[in-house]
Amino acid sequence: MSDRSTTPGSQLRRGAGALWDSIAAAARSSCAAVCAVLRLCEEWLFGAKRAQYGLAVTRILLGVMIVGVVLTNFTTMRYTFGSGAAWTGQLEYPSSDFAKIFPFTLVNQAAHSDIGILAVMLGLLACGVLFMVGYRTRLVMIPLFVLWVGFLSINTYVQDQSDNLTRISFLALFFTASSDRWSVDAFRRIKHRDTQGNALLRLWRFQIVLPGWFTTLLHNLAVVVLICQLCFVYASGGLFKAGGVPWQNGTAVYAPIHTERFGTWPVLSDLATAWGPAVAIATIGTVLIQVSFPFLMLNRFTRVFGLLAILGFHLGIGLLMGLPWFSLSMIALDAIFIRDKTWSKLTRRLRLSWEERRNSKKAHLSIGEPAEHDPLAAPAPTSASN
Amino acid sequence: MTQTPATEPAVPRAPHRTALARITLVVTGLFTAWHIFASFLWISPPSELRSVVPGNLLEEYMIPWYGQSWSVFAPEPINGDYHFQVRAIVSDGEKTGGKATYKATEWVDASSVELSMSRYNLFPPRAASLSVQQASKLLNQWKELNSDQKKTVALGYYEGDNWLGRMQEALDKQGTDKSKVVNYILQERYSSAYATQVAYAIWGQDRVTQVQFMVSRQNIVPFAERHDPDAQRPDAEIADTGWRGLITMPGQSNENFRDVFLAHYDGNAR
Repeated sequence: MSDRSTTPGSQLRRGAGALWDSIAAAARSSCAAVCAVLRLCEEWLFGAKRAQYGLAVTRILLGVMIVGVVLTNFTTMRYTFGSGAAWTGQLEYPSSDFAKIFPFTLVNQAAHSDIGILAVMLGLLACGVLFMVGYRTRLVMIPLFVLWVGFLSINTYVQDQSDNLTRISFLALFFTASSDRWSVDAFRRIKHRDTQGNALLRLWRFQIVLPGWFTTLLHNLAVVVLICQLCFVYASGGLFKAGGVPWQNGTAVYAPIHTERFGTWPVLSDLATAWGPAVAIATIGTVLIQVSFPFLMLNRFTRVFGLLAILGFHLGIGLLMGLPWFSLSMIALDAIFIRDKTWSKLTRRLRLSWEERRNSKKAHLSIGEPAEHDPLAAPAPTSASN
Repeated sequence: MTQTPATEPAVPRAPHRTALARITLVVTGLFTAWHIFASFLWISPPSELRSVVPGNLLEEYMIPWYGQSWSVFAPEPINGDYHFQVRAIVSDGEKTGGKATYKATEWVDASSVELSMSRYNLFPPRAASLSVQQASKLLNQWKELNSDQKKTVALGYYEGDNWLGRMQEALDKQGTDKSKVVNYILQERYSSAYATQVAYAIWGQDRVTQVQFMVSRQNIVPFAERHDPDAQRPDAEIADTGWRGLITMPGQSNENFRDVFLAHYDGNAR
């Protein structure tokens, strides 16, 4: 209240000073906020490898998918990819870009002969199984990638968008430690935990060679890339659909499953689309879930809902539209959105119930005669707690 | 989010990373940011935002490794069936007095034969949609032709080895856009090659002299009429194409085609 006597000039000066102070304070605090965010990002990227169990599930399911594609097309491989399909012109004038890029050209060339396409399929089968179980994963991924991308580029008549997605995902997976969990490699690492050797030997034994911060950084950046890729795929898929009348009026899912190509189970298609409101829910729900997928992933509660909804969506596509391997690759990649905490909780619960069952069985057995060589009595593996 | 053993001492994380780590973080982080931004632009519906990337850089970065398109079943999902039917002129094989007799066969729906591989099959092979794909490719190019050109392709072209070239010349004379003709002729070639394989498989390589294919697309019963037992499917759109000579693409194995095709051909497909 003593300011009442001051001149207008000094008031102005004081006002300007206060303004300046608050600007400086704001600048300081926003700078601090930016620094805090940057530090948080740095900590997230360097702190630990994220989504390790999720990526293990991705690896396992992608392996199953590749094995499944090979087995599904095994008896018709020469008809679809080999010399039986030369009429498509795809052998002589391949339309895929990859058919012109080394080493994928080799796979394309191999398709010309019966032995060659058989070798490609068997190679894919072997690499797919090894990838699935995580056996020398980093090494196996190289021939697997060449064979898979090459195989898909043989005949573009039978390609679909999930083929693009698996290729793109593999490019990111190369930078991840996808076999750190639930793999033969992980067992190997534990087995050789206390042994020494040169870098090559250590690599062969799946021991840590490169500095931890470096592999962790690449791993986490690749996880970010995969997460963004999936979010973009779902959201754009929803946006593209939202412009179409059948998606707006809630009838779109009816049409494809009543065509011969995508309605592989006509009786189920009739059943699934008999009740109009269900068709509308599936149609509008698809658009809404797809568009909102990135935002649903931000919060634990909505994430559970979003992932269950999208799982149902993929199971529906896999069964009703005859696209099981397309669906499985999408499900495989969605697994990275489930936190490591959740995966470990899940496995712990499974193990507990398994041990309980085993114990009750043992108790039951011991009433009769003692089971001296119970194969189930081996100590439970403790791989998840390293 | 690794599980850290409870025994590990709770050492506060060293906030000071080495300079190398920080530089690596900045470089890889910036590259990742660019990749994500480029993916965003490429995957999302095209907008003016794409113009912030200079020149052709976006496409050069994305293609071929990150090539993808997610307008699947959008804006409208597929609502019709493509079919590829084949018939042939076959000789009776028995030369009576040195003279063979020729007759046209019934139509065989090759697409139905292939699609039977996926019907009620949890794990359908990709082979099931080969001719459906060829049918849609030919029909889409046929639709690009003008009415005069459509009349031309309805005629028979089979004499000699150069019938496809003669058809191309005739089509070129009737239209101004030569690229449309090239695209159509390409699909004629592959369609004839497919029809030849189907005919060889069913009627035998030594008997077939000409083939004809009928490519069509027919929409399904509309949603609103799905419970109407008398509902009719809309009329099929048919590419009217005449008799054609035989084409065998280089490297084609007739046996590898025949073995699979006949395994699913019950002898009386439509």
